[in-house]
Amino acid sequence: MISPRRYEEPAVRLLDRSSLTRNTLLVCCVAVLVVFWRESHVDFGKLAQGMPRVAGWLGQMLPPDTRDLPEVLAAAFETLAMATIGTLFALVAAVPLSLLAARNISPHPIVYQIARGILNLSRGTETLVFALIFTAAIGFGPFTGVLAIAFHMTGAIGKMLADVIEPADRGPLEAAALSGASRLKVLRYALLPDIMPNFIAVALYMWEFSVRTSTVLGIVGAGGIGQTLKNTIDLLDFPKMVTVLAIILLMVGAIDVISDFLRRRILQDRASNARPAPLRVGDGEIGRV
Amino acid sequence: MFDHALAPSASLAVDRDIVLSLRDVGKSYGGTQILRQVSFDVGKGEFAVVLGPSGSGKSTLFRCITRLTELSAGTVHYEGLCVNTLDRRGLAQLRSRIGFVFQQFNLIKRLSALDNVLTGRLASAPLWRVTCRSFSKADRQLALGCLDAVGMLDFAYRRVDGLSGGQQQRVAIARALAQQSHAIIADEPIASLDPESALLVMQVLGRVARDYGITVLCSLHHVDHALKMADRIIGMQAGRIVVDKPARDVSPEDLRSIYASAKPN
Repeated sequence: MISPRRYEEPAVRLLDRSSLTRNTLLVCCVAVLVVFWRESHVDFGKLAQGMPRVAGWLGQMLPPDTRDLPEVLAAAFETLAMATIGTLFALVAAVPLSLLAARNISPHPIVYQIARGILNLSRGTETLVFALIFTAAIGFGPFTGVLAIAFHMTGAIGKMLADVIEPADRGPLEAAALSGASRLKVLRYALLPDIMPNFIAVALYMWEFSVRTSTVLGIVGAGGIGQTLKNTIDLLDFPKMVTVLAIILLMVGAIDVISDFLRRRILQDRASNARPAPLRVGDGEIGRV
Repeated sequence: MFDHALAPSASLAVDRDIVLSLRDVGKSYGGTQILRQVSFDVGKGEFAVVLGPSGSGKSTLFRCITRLTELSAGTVHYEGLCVNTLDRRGLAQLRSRIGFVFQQFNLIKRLSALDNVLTGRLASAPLWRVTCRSFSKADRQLALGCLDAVGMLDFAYRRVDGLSGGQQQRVAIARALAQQSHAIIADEPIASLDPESALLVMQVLGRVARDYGITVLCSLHHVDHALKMADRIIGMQAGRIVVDKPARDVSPEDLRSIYASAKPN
């Protein structure tokens, strides 16, 4: 026996304060869900009525109409281009903002709050909303899509980058600062290598995300394959719609594979067993006063 | 070889042999006195070890020397330069002229040993070279020499996160050497190392002081290492210096006075 002593534990009470609060919270959550359910007009009967119509369309979809394949592919390529350039713009804008919005790097709490505010505003506004604004401002076309993606993604990427920077190891930063180097040099040399893997992961993930988002941007006139998709839906041209959807799926799937490949290739560590060879021995040149 | 951009302050008579000089340095947080009237001089090439129980003020003392912490009283002079009154620029220059070695090494994990040692050249290298991570040939040669001096030349191109603690600390010492400073401050450099690595690191620090005439100020918990390696022991107790004498003259009574439990006063 490890201990001959006996121990008295506090009695478990069914209605103590903490369990009361918890139960009240639970009841509140359920009540809120009920309200939301009613607000959403959930009606499975309606769904059952509509299903045969969808099934009918499924019949009309086949075989897919591939006569306009070159046009669809060109539209897909436009989507890919504007998503990529939009993400690039967003990356350029997000890097400085994320430094200001990372608690450990930001020069001042007020600057931190402002940077966070900008990021939240940008992130909180959907790409589609920006697309509507920019179609009104500069008209239809892929550049509208580029701007919409850039404006929303700046916030999304900036927030993720700031979250990547905040847990960075303080030690190397302090060591580099104590060597008397300027702040910019410290960030470049001591912070960047530490966050680089996460930085690349964020950039590639956001690129994927942008490609997926931008497939629908054409619906509001911001260029790309979304426009083609909308046209087929408007004309109830189901065979062609299948082709468009298939191309979208293929493109998104391909981006997934490519981004995964890039991530692994870039992050792969190159092991080096090379050694510097001393040319002459025993001459301690360093630190000579 | 050294760029003495900062002229010694006119008011202080410059003694060539004294590198670091503290006068009545005091530090208090709120009502608590962390440092009380700490005064000592450290000479060129001297290996001085600061001994003291945890919380005796060793780390605070070191932080005050580089103004990571502002002192509440007294003055610090480094190479004839009054540390108290430096502006931002002056402070950066001061820091570039003191090498620092930390308990946790503080290396940039994903970079090679050589790239880490080159951190010691950050202050003097132009921004574009830092940005492209392309240091001048002279800087690279200097950094390789520093790695050679700590016995880590063979690991120059290895990433530091694959090195043992003792090896990492030697790279950190090479980084301090690469600053071409006249002094190295080491805050508990062997506290997270196994005994064998600890001994090796202490030997490297000793050699740095002896062979290159670099002043080493080092805080330690290990009395044995301190007495064996150091030229001089500075014993601290509750923010005060209670012992300050050559290592060979330190008696068991001295050690007892350092590690005696703090008496409130």
